[in-house]
Amino acid sequence: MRRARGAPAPDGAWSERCYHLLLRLYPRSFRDRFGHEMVDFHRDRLRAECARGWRGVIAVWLGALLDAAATAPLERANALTRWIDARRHLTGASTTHHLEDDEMLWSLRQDVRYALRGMRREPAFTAVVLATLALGIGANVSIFTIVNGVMFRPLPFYTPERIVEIAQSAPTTSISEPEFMDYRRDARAFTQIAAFATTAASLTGGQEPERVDVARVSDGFFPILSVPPRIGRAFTADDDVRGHPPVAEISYGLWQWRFGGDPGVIGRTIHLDGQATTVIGVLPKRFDYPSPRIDVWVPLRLDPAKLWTRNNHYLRLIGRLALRATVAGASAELNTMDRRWMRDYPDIYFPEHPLSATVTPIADTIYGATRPYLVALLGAVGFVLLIACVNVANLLLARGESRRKELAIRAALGASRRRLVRQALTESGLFALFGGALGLLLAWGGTRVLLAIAPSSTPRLDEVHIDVSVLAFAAAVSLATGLLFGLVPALRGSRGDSADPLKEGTRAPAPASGAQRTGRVLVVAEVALAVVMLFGAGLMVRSLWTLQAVDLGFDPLNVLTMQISLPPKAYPNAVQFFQELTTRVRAMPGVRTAAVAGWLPMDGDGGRWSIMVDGRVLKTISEAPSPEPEQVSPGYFEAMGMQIVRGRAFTDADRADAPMVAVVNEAMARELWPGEDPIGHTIKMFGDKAPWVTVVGLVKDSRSEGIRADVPPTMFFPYAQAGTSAYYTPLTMSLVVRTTDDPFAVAGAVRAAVHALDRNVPISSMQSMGQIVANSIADRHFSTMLLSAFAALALLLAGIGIYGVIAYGVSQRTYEIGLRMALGAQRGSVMALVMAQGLRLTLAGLAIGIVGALVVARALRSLLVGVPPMDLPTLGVVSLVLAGIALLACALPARRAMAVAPTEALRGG
Amino acid sequence: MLHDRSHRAPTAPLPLKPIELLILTMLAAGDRHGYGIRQDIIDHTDGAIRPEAGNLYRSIRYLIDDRLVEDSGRRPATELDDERRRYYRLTPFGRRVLAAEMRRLRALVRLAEARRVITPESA
Repeated sequence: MRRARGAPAPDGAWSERCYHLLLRLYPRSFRDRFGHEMVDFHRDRLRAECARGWRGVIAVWLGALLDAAATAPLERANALTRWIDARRHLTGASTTHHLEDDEMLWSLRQDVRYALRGMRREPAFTAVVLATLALGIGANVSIFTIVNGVMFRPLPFYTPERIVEIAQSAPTTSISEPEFMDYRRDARAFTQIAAFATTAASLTGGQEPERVDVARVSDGFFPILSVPPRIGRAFTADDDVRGHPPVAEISYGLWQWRFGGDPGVIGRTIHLDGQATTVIGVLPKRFDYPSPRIDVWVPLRLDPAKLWTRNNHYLRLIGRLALRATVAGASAELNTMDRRWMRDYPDIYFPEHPLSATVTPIADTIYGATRPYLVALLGAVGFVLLIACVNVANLLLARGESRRKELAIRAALGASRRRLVRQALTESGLFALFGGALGLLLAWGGTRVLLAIAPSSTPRLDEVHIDVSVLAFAAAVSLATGLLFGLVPALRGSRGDSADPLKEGTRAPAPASGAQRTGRVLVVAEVALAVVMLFGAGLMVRSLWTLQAVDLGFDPLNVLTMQISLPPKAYPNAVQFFQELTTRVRAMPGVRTAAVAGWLPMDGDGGRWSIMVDGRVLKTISEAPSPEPEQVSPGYFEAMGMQIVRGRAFTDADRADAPMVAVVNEAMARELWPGEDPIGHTIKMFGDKAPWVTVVGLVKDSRSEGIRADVPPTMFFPYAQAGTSAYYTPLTMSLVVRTTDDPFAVAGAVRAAVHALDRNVPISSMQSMGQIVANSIADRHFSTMLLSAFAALALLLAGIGIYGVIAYGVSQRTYEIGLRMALGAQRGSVMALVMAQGLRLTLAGLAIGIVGALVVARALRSLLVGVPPMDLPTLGVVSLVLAGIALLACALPARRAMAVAPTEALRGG
Repeated sequence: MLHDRSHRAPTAPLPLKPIELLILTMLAAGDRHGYGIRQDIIDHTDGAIRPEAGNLYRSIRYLIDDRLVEDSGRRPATELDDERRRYYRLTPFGRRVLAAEMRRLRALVRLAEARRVITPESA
């Protein structure tokens, strides 16, 4: 190597050597001119970056690889055109083209032609290899497409890495108005902080009334996200001042389907809960913060002179970090402020629940919860691909063995070893190329299927499509795959004394050639990989089972729900409306019972309300317990399938003018009256005006905040009394209908009943309780299903791999087996011989795989529920399944071995 | 064969690619080796442009082939630097091309100012 004249720096020696290899991508002429300078350049880069440790080294290498991938082909093409030009004009004289370049080109063409001929000659072999590769690459590209859309594509904000969400730790994550004002005024780590809260409103005027989700946002919200409206104008600071005319920005979606994409929507008046509001802007298509469901953004309009109390937490905060601020620094600063508040307002904050602020990059709040699932899936498809590679390598190896003679002849005729390796690599390169193309095609379909079955709660699904980075990924994966499965057989095939195979007869191949040894190593690797995959999938399945076995405390089967929102001004007596409605719905055929509730289990909640208990006088609100409130009509517990443990449920007699009553759940009873009967105790909303309410019933706990969450203490009030006993009468209620059969069978009739009472009442989010429960674990369900599918694929591939190696071994040993049988060996012992060989490989693979599985299980830990990462039963089942498949894969060739006729075998048939 | 553009007008190779323009501009300040050009570019673009070796030397090849840049033949003292490091310099033709390109860009800037895309800077 004349380019490596200068002594390389000792620390970067390996890196430099790799860089020399990378330079070989460039044509010789270019290398000769700039090669050593580029090496120097690379060394300088490394020196400058090594201060950053391995991150720096990776950055340098990533840059260098991408750079070479982008420029080397161009230089090659350039060298090629120059060479062709030179050839055309020329007649021998002083061309500067380099022999190595054209020689390489010619041999490449030859190799490609040769490889294509080989593929055509063995269509079955080619089909198996291509199918395996297409499956492996297709699965990888599909999952990568999803991951790319959800996690890698840039968020629709300017410099999203500087945007953070600010939250408080438990008991509440939201922030109160005075806290927001303090942060905004004092926090130095942010250039800007804005608050927002989400709500819903009825959108009327024009067509059918509609329920829309609304974000109320403070001044600074859009500037922090740096999103200008697509048309119209943004909110100004003036828009956030109370008393100014009401204005709104609307989503691209709402603009399209409600206003037909008419640009004249700007300046038009819409009615939000009856309030006339001017549309001033339409936001860009991709903008979906704080949630894709939000269709309208209105100014928050806090009144700085009359802020709500410090313990009324309902705002969410975003901020843009100042130029040199970090997430950790910002968090430290906010926590310092928190501690000061705790000192300054001892009657507001509990010392036993210290406030602590968390600052989270906005990307984490958007897809943080989905990330572990996606990473697990990406890992799983990676394993599938590895197994596919091993299988293909095995196939090529076995075939290489049958081609040994041909190779030997070529070697004898003067082909260099390098040339033979290159030829083999060209073939695997072509396989990879075709397999990659097929895989991309599969992925194109696969992505569609995944999108169709992906849970709707997955963030940013509309960002998922095949783009340049997906194509680059597919190309990279195919290339890596080709190298991976091609290298081993290529090196093997070119090795060895070229004269040997020529001397060998056809009768008795060597009993255990090197190729077979390599093949066995590959099978062991494959089994090990399959164990890891199966174990991971097994743990996820067990977690899912654990969750599905949890007693919900209510019965989601055959329950239809829908949200009904009464326009505020038209309904002074909402109680009567819902009473009438439930009476009519109950009378419908197919309906068992019906009721309404302020909140549905697992679908949002009403926050927490501070209360007083049993006439005890509390000095400050910080001492007050705060259960979740729920307003329900009579029949709710029955409709939801919740069990009254003691006392009674609500009846029609619990009217507004009757004595005030409440039902509490077991969690609340345990917290307030441990070891006592809650019936007869009294509670009261914190505040002067509310009356005392008597507890008349105890209801069994239900998982109202999700399967995994703790059951919150909950108090239920009769809807008819809620206006007196629980602050107000909510106007947006969920209708809960228990049916005898398919809940959606009555949906049309129920909808008609609502509209018969009032045509202008919007109905929204119609879903069955079963759907709500399923949605709450949809992420997990989806990824578990996919993981299982991939594990099954891995198992299948591993089975095929074992079968291939054993069957090949048997075919190679036909002579030996025949000899054994001719000498009197029993069929059983021949079978045992073959099976034992397969089982040895499987056991070795199992042993290695179990070690790997335990490592991978630790990585999965955050996703597991109710299953320890080292779950032995799962491991046992996985081992048995694999052993079973291995047995099956060995049994087929073993049977063939038993059927060997000694005379035939010895004759060499 | 190499195309020799040096007999042609300095506007012939225009417009230059951004990376070529940057390399020429950096060389206008004096001879540089490849890594030095990169450092200069990073410094003057606030790190927005960080050329890698292949991209840089590929452009240098074009610039040399077009006779805008040449090997300066200068070598620093051996103890200071590796003796094989090559320094590049602007040829007189390259300087004329750069000037022509800059004039072209200045005309564009004037246009943008006239159309109030940017506010005119007082000279």
